[in-house]
Amino acid sequence: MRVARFVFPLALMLIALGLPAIGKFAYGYEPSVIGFPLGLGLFAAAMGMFVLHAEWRGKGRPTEALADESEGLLDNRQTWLQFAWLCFFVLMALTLGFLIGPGLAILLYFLADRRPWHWAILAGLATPAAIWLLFILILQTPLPIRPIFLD
Amino acid sequence: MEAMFQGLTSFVQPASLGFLVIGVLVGSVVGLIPGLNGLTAIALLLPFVYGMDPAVGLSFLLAMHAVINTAGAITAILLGIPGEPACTATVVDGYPMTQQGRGGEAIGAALAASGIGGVFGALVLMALLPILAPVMLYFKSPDTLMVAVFGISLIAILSKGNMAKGLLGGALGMLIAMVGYQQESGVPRFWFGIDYLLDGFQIIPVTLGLFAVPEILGMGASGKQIAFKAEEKVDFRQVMRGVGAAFTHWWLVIRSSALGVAVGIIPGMGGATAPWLAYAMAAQSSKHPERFGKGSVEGVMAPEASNNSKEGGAMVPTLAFGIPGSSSMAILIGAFYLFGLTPGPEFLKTNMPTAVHLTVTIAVANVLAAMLAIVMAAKLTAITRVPGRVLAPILMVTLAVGTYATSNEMWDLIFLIMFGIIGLFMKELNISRPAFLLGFVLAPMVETYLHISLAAHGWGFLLRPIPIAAMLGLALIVSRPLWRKQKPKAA
Repeated sequence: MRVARFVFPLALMLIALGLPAIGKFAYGYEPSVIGFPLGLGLFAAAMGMFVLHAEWRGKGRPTEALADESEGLLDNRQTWLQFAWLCFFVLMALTLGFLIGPGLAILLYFLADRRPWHWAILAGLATPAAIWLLFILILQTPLPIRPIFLD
Repeated sequence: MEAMFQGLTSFVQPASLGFLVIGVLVGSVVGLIPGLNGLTAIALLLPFVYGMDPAVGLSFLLAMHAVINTAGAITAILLGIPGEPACTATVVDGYPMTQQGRGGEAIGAALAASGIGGVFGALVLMALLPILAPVMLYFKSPDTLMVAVFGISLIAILSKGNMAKGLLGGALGMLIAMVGYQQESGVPRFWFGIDYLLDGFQIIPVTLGLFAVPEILGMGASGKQIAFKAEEKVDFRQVMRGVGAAFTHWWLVIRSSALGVAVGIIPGMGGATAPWLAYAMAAQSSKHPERFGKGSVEGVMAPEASNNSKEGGAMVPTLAFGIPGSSSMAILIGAFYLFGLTPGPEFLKTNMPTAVHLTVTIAVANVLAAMLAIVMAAKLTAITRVPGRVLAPILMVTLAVGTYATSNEMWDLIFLIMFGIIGLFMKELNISRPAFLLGFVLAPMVETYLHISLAAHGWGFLLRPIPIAAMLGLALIVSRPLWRKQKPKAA
């Protein structure tokens, strides 16, 4: 978390300056095309400098009254585990379709979380049913439901 | 008067009322699901209204659209996940209220404010219909530009942390919006060969990534229920206390509604602007500004009132000039054409009864949606007592499916995750996500109007009354902390 307070603003400054630089030198955008993004990038970089300065002096943290805002999520291993699960959910949906994928993902999540297996199976079955009912039947959204290897 | 009578008569027909109720129910469901928005819902249901009576079909679509934000507020308050991008401002104070066990109060306040705001917007629309032209024609490019810049700067300046972090967030959001075709020249910028990026990043993955993903990750990481700080039972009395707050703070609700209408009238300002401006105004004028961001009921009512009233405002340019006041109105104009109607000055002359019918629809739909949701509110708060590690995966699925359903693009999901990581870091490091989002939404318009203003007026555009007022307003707000510090010394 402490390192992130410096690294993240630095990364944002890099993006803020890097994008216009790429536009100018790699793609050769005209001034009328690159002007506005360049101005924004320079402004963002300047603000990033102020932020880094404030962090360096220890003034970047919220005041006592606002301390609840940060929940220490970055330092919590569980946060990154949940993030991995989110990526897994997305991957499952894209590869197995939007019925089987989410159902299987929820089943595995609940099993990994040591929930009773019958609840996990119930959730795994209820999920595709709910998706089908809400998105496909009622809202008529054309979701891909076949696994990609069957296409 | 005759047109009004005809419009009202047409409104009370059984078919019209029936489809209004269906529209309210559909809109409520759509609003509750993060990822699905009014734009998508109207587009999906357009084929269904073909063949209906024009007033009934338009009424159905409008009723659905008018209440989506009302329902979106519920997930924003209970889960910290905005059901609609326009409900993001409600998360700031609504979610902390839920965590404190005051979710029922927050919902009651939000729904009542939404209902009042929606009715206010409809009444203003009704009053303005005969005199729309001079109001609309006054606003030129420099004025719209400076209102947008004022909005972004205000949110950035008022953000927690420090001002530099807020302005950094706002500037970055604007920079990210530069990806894709430049509107003036058609030159694609920063797309790196990815076709999806030719149209730029999309609002849904950006909003849900920044605001929903960090909350879901936090929920799953802690495993706690959302209302872990609850000290009282959430029941119908608590909900009604919230409803009562909307009437106690009636002046705030009316002011916020008026602001929503004013912003909604300006084409292209975007649905996300009005609630944030209303929030900022409420924070500035409150007797207890220190409570904002930590569960202030005023911070819930202000954005919700303006959120619904802006729909009435957005109808003004739509009906009067055929210029969509918002992207959803653009689809609605398509519905007009489907029925053989052409919105514009001639429309108001020849179809005033239809215009009245639609106006009454907005008002009644808002009241109906608010009443329905208030009745269910106490039950809905049960979700806040579900353990975090049961709720988190369900929300992950809802998020993924809802995001993908918007446009069936794999890249939406990839960028949802990318902005999720960015949102997590921004949240933890107090870099303003609201300013980022508002900058993202308004940047294309700011750039376009800047080009037009410079071409038409040079830098002299800053000398128009509205730009001067915007700059003075910002200077006042920025310097306020300084002369507050001076005051005790003077005494």
